Amino acid sequence: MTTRTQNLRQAFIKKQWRICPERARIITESYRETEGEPIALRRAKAFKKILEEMTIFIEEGQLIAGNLASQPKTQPVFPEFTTRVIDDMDTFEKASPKVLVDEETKQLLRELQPYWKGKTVDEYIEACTTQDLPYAQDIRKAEELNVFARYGVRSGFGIFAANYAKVLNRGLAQTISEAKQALSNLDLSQASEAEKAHFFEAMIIACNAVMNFAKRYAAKARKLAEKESDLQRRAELERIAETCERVPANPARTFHEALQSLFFLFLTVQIESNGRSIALGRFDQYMYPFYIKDIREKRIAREEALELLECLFLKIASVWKLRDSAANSLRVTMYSNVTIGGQTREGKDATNDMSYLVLEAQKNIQMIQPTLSLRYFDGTPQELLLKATECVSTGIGMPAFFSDTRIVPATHRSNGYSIKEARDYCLAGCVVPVVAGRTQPWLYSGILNALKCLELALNSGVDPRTDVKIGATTPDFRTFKSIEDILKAFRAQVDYFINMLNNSLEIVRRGHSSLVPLPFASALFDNIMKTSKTISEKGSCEHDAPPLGWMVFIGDANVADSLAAIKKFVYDERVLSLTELKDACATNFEGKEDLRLMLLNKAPKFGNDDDYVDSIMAEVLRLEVESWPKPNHDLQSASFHIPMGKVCLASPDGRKAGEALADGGVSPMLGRDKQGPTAVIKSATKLDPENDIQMYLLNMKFDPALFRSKQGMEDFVALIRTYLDLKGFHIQFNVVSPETLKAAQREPEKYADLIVRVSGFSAYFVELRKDMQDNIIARTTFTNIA
Amino acid sequence: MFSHNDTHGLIFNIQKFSIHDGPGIRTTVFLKGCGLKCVWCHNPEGQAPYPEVGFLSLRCIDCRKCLATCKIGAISVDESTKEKVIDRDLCTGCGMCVDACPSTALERVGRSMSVEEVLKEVQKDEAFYARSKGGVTVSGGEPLDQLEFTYELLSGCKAKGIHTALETGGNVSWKHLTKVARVTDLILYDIKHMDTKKHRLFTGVGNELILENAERLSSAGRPIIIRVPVIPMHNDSEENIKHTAEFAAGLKTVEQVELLPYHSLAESKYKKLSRRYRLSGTEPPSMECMEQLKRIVNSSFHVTVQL
Repeated sequence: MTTRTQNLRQAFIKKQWRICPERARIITESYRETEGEPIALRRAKAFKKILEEMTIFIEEGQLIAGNLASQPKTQPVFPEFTTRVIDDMDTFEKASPKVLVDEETKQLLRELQPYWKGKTVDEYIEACTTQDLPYAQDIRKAEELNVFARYGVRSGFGIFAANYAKVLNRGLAQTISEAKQALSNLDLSQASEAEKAHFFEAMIIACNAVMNFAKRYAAKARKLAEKESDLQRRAELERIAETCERVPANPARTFHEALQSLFFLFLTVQIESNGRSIALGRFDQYMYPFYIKDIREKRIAREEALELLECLFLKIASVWKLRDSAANSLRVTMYSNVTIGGQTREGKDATNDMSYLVLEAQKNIQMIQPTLSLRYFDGTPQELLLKATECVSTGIGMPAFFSDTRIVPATHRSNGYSIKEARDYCLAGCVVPVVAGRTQPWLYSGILNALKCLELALNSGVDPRTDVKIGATTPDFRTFKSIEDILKAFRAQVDYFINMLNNSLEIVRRGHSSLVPLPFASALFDNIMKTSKTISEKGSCEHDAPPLGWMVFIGDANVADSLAAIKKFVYDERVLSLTELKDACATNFEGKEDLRLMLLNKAPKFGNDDDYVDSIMAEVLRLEVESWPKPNHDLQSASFHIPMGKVCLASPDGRKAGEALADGGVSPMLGRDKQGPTAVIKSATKLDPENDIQMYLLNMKFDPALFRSKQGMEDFVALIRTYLDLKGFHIQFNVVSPETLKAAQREPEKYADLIVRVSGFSAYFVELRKDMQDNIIARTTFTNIA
Repeated sequence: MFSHNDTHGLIFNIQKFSIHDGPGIRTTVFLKGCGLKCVWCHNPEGQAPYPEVGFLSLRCIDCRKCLATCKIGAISVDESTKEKVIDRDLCTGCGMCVDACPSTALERVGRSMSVEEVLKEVQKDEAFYARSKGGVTVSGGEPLDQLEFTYELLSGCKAKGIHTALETGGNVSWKHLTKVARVTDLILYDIKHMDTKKHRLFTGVGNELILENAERLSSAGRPIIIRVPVIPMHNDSEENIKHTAEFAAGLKTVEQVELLPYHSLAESKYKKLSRRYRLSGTEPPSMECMEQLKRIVNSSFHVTVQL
């Protein structure tokens, strides 16, 4: 790291997050001015006004320009999506991570709030949920009882990667010409075409606004340069000015221009919408040509390129948007995903020097954003994996590793992409493979408490904790003769909630497409000019429209472990009746600790390479996948395992009432994987031979001692390779000793920059809630003391 | 062909993702029973050649199912502490109390397994061996004390293309050692002390046979890694390490010397087996000490220090 990037990093870490009211103020003014106009145009005009009027700055020493809100490390407000943030302002200072709101900001936002009454996406969805839907009341009940949740409903479209490469290479002016062409091709004598015309007009306004936004930075840099006495800095500011005059309107000619162009696109997409999980695509692939040209023409040295890259990553780290308070404490990330490695469209190794530079930059800056994902296939060089391991060994939990062997054929098969297109996938969100500029963005995920579904299956749809009927009516448990009968009832419960999700997805989509269409983000998608529809109207879809969300199952390992215990003790050995077992769970094993320990210790547990229970886990996952409409989008991850565990009674796997569930995806339940990491990997990779589950997540924690020797590093790489060769989907690591984590709990101030992997994302450990911290400490640490 | 896969061995642990017992990712199979009586032994479960029952009092919930199960009354309760006491003279290691114990406070130390069963278990990680150039290591105890089993197990692994390693103390007949060496790709050979008097004092036997076997193995062209446990106040003198290194230098097939610093993690294992730990209170050697010893060996070898 250079002194410059060290200083930028320090300055960033030292500052506290704050709320910035500026975007909210400007958009309110704009909406007032455009009432009655078509919504696409209103959105474009508001976007333009924000980009014209918002405060801009260039940080001391930074080489990349662009800011999300009026001050460094401030977060804007998106009142057109929801005003809950305004309601919850007072709680942010006590939240983790802490976000400060000064009195002036609070007052200003409260003054703006009345204007938005009845106009937000949030209220639209709420209104539909209370009135329209057949399942409306059920959703409410299920959400209140933490059985089902809709995550990110109010955020807007996310989980996508735009086609940045196109703009880097051709310029945004080219996109405007295409939109103008498309506009002129419309037959405006047809009334039905009017809406399309509005959309293209909006797109042109928005693209122009972004180009002018860049010009504002050019002017700013020129002004700063004039006043700058330090000659070196003056030259830098002049270079920034030249760069911002050129991009993103025109094709980038240098690596610096390409980075700057990319950041303007990424930043303005973030300013347009409240959505998160906006990925940066295959960064090493589209950046490499710019970089290598500069190197060959001796315009830049490798170290300078690395510094520029660090500057960009630090800018990406500063792009952060508020969630309302409840979600804020759970998922503290933006998922600004950068993908490296994998194969070229022709199936060759795609690794290049940019892949290495990205790993170096990430290792150096030690930030939780961007999120880094590494694609692996058989031809991935050992050297890249060793470099990636070095990065992992610093403890930042990145990169996460993904298997091309699994994902390329699956993307080809279920999304209708050719093999070549599928080989071009990148990661969005935590673990979602998408093709940049092509794949339909997603709206939100349903989160389903799988262990609660098992409870409901054993109680004919009644929640045994509250006696409220919240699930499907399934047969009385006394009629069950085998775990197959229980699984059938479990499947019925899952079906019930998946229906619930599907019914509400369309409502939510309508809310977003009618109230907050996204002309600018849409302009960065490939098929928009042909379909003449925004991404909120599935304008990027070429094939059958995929679902707009997906279901995340929480606690599958607990379901499998519970069913294994039932199978063993109730049906195989008959030492216990299902009634006795249910009663013991209902009373939280009160006075029956020996029974609880027997269930916990004497029945096989998922994660130990034991077919008895692994086959049950496979069956549970199969039922869940089958329950979901095609194409099979399915994912099991998230950090809901703590709140969802709170509402579950004690379970037949020996878990006590209220304790957290397994921490995501195909990760075993905490502390039950006793055979080491190879056994966990074996268990995880035997679940889905047909490759039907599109996404899942595996967490592992290693002791830093493993990485002290070259052999340790190589063994670690072999472990990753084997997992991905066996078609594991995704794997991520925490490398930190439990002692360090406990010390950080005691003295948080000393560990402000300690990063851990939570669940598909990394976070600052001290910013996590206490229960999440404890949960991470409790994950099995693989160590090896001979 | 006649199969020996129903030969049984007494195993006290099968450890996966074992990365310090030979190259790559390995599975180490620990066999029970050892002729040496090293005062620092860090695997006391490996000493006795018969099955035992271990007791971890911290896990005990005092349900007393074990008392009801033990037909010979080998388990009693110290009523003042509620501590379970196993009468080691009575206990046959049958393990029925272990099956009855819900809390895992009682555990089997040693179970009889056939070669076939063990092969099945170690084959589970074959994919990892292939990627990491790892394999299977048979350790103990002294694995050569269960000669037939060790031979059959290693032969079975070789037949399946799995790299084999054997960790031995070397205090066995040459005939036995050479038989097993034929099916072993790498031998991890422990040398505890170069002075036979001290060797006898600390392990119960002299070192003559051990050193002789090492020389013969080397002459027979068998690849060897020399392993030296570094035990403070016992064998950690610079002089002893120097002699060990010189001895190793005379063996032409030694690939590497490993210094294994003492650690105190074994203490709880002694308690579990109701045995006295004679090195209680011993501190692990300092980093500086290990670095110094490493330098001594380093002049002639690639040395690793396992931490």
